[in-house]
Amino acid sequence: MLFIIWLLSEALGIADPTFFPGPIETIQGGWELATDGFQRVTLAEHVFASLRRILIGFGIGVVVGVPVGLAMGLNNTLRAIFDPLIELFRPVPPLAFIPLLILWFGIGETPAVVMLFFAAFFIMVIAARAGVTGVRLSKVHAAYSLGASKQQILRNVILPNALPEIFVGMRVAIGVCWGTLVAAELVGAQTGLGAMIWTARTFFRNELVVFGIIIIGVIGVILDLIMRKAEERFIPWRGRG
Amino acid sequence: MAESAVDGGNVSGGLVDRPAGSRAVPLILGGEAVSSGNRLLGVAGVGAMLALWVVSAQLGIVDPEVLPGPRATAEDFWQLATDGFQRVTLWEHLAMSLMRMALGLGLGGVAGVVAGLAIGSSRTIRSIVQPAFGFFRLVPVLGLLPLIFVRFGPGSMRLVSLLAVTTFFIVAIAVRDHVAGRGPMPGSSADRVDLRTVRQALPATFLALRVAAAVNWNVLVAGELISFQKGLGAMIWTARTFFQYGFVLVAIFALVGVSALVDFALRRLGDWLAG
Amino acid sequence: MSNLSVDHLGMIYELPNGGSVEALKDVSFDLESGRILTLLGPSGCGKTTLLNIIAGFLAPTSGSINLNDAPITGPGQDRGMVFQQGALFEWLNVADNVSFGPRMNGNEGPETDAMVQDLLETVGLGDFGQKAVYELSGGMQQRVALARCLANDPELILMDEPLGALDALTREKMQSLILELWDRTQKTIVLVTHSVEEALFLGDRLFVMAPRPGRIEREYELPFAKLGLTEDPRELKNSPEFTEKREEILSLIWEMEEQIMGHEGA
Repeated sequence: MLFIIWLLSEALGIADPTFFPGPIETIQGGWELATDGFQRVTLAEHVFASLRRILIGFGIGVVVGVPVGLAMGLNNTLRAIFDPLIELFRPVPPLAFIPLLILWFGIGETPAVVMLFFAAFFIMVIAARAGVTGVRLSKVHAAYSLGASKQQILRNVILPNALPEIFVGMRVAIGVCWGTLVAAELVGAQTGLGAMIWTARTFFRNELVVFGIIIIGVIGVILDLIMRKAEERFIPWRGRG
Repeated sequence: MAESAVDGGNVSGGLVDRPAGSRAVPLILGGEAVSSGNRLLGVAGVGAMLALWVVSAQLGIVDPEVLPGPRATAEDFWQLATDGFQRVTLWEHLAMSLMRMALGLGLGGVAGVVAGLAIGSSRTIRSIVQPAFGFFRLVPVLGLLPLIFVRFGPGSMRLVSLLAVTTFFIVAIAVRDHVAGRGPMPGSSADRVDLRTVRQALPATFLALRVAAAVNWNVLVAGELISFQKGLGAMIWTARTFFQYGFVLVAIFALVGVSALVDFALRRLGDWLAG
Repeated sequence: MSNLSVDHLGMIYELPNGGSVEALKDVSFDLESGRILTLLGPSGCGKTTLLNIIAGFLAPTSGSINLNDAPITGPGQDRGMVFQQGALFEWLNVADNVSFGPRMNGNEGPETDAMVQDLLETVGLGDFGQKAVYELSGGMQQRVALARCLANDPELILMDEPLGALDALTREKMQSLILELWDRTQKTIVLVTHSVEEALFLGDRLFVMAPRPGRIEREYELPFAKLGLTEDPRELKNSPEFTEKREEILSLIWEMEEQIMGHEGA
């Protein structure tokens, strides 16, 4: 419906095209970007650059964050020490660290990837920790009564029990990472969808800006859907314990 | 079954679902508190971190060019607090950010409560709006940030409207679930929604506002960073262009403080209004 | 054989505010092999605490507790546990839930599979082995819990309000199933319930417990569990002997609750 309003506004010339481009102009711009590219970089290259960054940053964040969160969930002392630190830094937008990260790691891929790592890391720590501490005591007791050792309970009860929280954390983290990455690319990158938009803007190519926003939105939705499908596939028992 | 306030989805990411019936604590607000006896350990942890910063700066282990020490940061703070940087003081940046945050939460919150009540209590409205709702709340709001560059509406309000959009979806979904969770309303039409209903929805609303605030700090800082002269995000970026990394640290500390303050204020306000 | 011996058991909880609660005081009893004991009482009477101490999840603050002359020092597979609900592993299917105990002991293979299938048939779930537990109704889930507990062949079965979350009809069927299993396996059972009727029907021994401090107020030896194996449960529960006992215990518990209210009012 929104699309129809948008289409009509262009057809009837209601909106000023220099300020807000219509759908036909946007699609034309998108076609040009996909085939010839803009400033010699094609859409596919921008998308690939963005996806590569998010997959590396998010991936390392999950791989490091989950064990740390599990350890915090299992050990009261660790939890007591690190909870306040996590609480302190969690609310700070990851983007606020980008100047320092550029200073430390230089201009290039590393600052953005490190920033995404931290964004995912905090979310995954909290998720994994909540997954462990949320285990129903009767499940642990039942396992003990069935003759399981501590190690066995850890592997066969606590870990599978924490999986739903971990998956939900991953879904949240990938959303946050995607948005943060685009914002970071706006200010400090040569490639990636954010950078493409920034360049398009400086050349007053508003139709490319709008096209970029749509692509970002679509990829955001696709990433979320992938995570949801993964949840359905790997943890069908979620929320039914 | 009613989706919990934290089910399903996220606007720019940040809400977490839990099965109905269990503690519905949004992930982004952190977990349950550690027992009071262990507080000391936590204080020790934060203290150790600060001590590491002080000692490494004192002994010159870390190059002050790479990470400004506590003394330099304190001096930078003093300069920002009194004279300001580029003729803008820390307080002006803070006030600007807080104003945007308050406007975004206020506008989005009010619209969200109205929409949530309407969707939650009227089946007709729900059937019309639900599909669009489902799609849009998956779009990361930060991804919409470049809309700031596209000129529609007055420029200073664009960032605020983005914040309001984030808030709107989070609050509307929470209120909808709150209303739907109480079973079908008598008469089940929107006109039966009275002040008492609004009052009952207040705890859910304020919990959603706290979640929205946490998400919005991200959007706010990003928005200010890319296109404004004032606000904490703008301060960070200006500081970077002038290689004033102490100011960046001051901004980070300010964000820690102000986000905690807003969270606290929302919690208190919610408790107070709900009686 | 299995002889649970509880001697001057006491349990005091320290509260965070510095106070303490005497959840159990001077509880002593012996339970012979093959008996089914039900524990009944108002909330705070320590019945669940007692069960958790027998299971080994809690250590008593005083007194001793022995199973076959060996002190209980922690949880063990000689004491199986059935909880009210939510203690199944929802990431495993029905058969894997039942085989959990044997698998933790390194027993895997066709023999275990056959035993699991046997147990599932015993509890009436022969065709449900490959189902996910969350696909089952509450009553069926409790059947799985019973089978899982039996898979380790424990000497003593502890049940913490196992039927508390079920609807009335399912509950009656499950009561009969518990009696049937008791008769077939000759296990010793300790069952906590808050239903007077259930405690009377299932217990061939029954303790009515009282709060503040938690203690055994009155003991009964009852014929209904054995009769329930052959007679119609409905008729049995409507028999004069049964209703008389029920009224007696109800008024006993009523008095206790009155006292608590009075105590709190003062």
